[in-house]
Amino acid sequence: MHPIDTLGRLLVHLGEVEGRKKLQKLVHILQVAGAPFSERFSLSHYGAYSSELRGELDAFDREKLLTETPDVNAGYTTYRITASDQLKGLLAADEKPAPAWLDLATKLNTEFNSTELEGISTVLYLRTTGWQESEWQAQFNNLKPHLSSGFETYRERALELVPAA
Amino acid sequence: MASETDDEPVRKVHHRGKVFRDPVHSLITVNPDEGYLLDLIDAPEFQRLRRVRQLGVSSITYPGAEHTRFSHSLGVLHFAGRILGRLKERYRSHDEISEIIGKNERVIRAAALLHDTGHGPFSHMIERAFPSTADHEKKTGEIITSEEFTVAQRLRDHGIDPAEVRAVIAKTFPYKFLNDIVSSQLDADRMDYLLRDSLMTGVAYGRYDAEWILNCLCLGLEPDLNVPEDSRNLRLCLDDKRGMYAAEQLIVARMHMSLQVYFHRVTRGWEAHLLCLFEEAAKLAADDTGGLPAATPETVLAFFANKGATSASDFLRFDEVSCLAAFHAWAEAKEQAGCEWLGELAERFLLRSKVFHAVEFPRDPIGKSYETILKLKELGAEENRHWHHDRASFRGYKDFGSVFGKTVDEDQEYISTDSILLNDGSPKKRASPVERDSRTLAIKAIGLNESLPLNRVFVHDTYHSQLS
Repeated sequence: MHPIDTLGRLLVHLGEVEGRKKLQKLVHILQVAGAPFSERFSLSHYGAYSSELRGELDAFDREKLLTETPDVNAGYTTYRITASDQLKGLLAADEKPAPAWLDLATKLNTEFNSTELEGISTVLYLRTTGWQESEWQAQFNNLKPHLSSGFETYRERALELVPAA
Repeated sequence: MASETDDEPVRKVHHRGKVFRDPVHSLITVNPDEGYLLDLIDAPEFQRLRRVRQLGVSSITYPGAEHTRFSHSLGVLHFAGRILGRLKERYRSHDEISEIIGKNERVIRAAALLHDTGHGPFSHMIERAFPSTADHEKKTGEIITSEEFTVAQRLRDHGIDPAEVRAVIAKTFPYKFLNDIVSSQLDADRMDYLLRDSLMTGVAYGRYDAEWILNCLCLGLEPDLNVPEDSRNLRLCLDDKRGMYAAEQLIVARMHMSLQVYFHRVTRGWEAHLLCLFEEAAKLAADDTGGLPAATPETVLAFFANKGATSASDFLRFDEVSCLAAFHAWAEAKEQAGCEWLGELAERFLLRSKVFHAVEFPRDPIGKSYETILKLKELGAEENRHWHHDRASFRGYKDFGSVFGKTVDEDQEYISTDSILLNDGSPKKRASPVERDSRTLAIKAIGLNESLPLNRVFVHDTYHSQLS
């Protein structure tokens, strides 16, 4: 599927996403839930990460299909990502019914912050790479010692948002 | 002598080592005390790789590219062993690192050997065919741990935990530098495939100074200051005084191989052709009225009927040999009602008679390719029948992305995942990405090049002329 039909549609639907880090986790969770994102994810220190998605975002940026506005909070810069009018125009030329995964995208974007999505996407990464549920906590603590106290919450949220097939 | 049952053939007992002659490494030696490797090499899951070519349909473009995932995997085992050897030697007086390597060496070597067992026929091409075939690493993980395959038992027979081997491939093993040996910017996989693909295609761009890279390997801490300073966060690096230009050469080699071989327009065009053929085969396999021609091999039939989801026994038999047998059967059935399109695509693939033509987008590839696709839809052309979008984001060969764009909040992850790291060898010091070194010559130029990644639409004869 064309990235405008996946990533582009997502950005137009969400209106605004607070930073690429959050967007990375959000797309990973959507992919595990069955949305047609084909980017390959691996595990970095901050959870699931796709350099393919980074490349696509850079390409969207170069073609002015998105806008990134810097926000400096406590010396830390994040970038609000919004769809450009050009992107909206391209999608308007091919009107289709909204896919169901956009509802989940809204929920992830509005109800969770970047760190929570990092925890949830890490649990889902462990699930998709074949770890048994009984092994998740030990693996999670190994990989994410800074988030280990929230493991149980992330596990519950992951199973609730993306029930096992 | 061990007895043989109907279900399981006798497994060889290895008392001696083995030496493989290899065009890249000359000799690849498995020592007598490494029986676990010989047991894994003998596994049907590994032997199957003899029937999966490393570069899929690249041999249409480069006739020499007939080498297989089998020989590449032996090469990766060889490089992984040499990397481990170099680190053991360099950190011989560092007790903790020596102990970590000593304790996990067999897991890493097993992972290096097995890392490609999940590849389907035509290698990376088939990952784009169906969602269930999209991730060969996931399939590799299943092959290593599932009791439906023989690998897990073979590993356990030698006291190796299959879950640990899988974790190295999934990069969830707790020691990052050990994961890096199998999968990273300096991994044994890339070190072997560049040299092997370069040699076998005859494209000399892929060569680089492997001996010097090995000589410069060292460890350093994850560059991100927020990551704790402990041995789990050590990364595989190159010595910053001696290794930088070798790193540049490796990156340039990879970029040229990506442009000249992996993303070659003709090769990608034939992959698009096969993807359209596979789409048609899946459509027919799901059709109760006609179905695929009767002479289709059973394994291939099962693959398409289940859209790529195969049983363990079918997976072992689903290789390029069975696919090519199917293509011949389909070409012969092209007069059969309902099989005309399937037969034509199969026949034209076998005869190398071009059907699909590339439309390229040197500027604004995302937007322009989308507009072209909208136009094709208006003309009545169907995706994966009359056209195929060769997506920019497909990076089966981990091509070099831009690191010189604007700074964004995910930069630390990008550096951690996509950069070659430099350090002075001290395991207490933070590593730094090579592209931030002021001495770099070629990397900046590559990083600033916006023409990567590639993006094309392959269009059938009928519609190609209507686009202009």
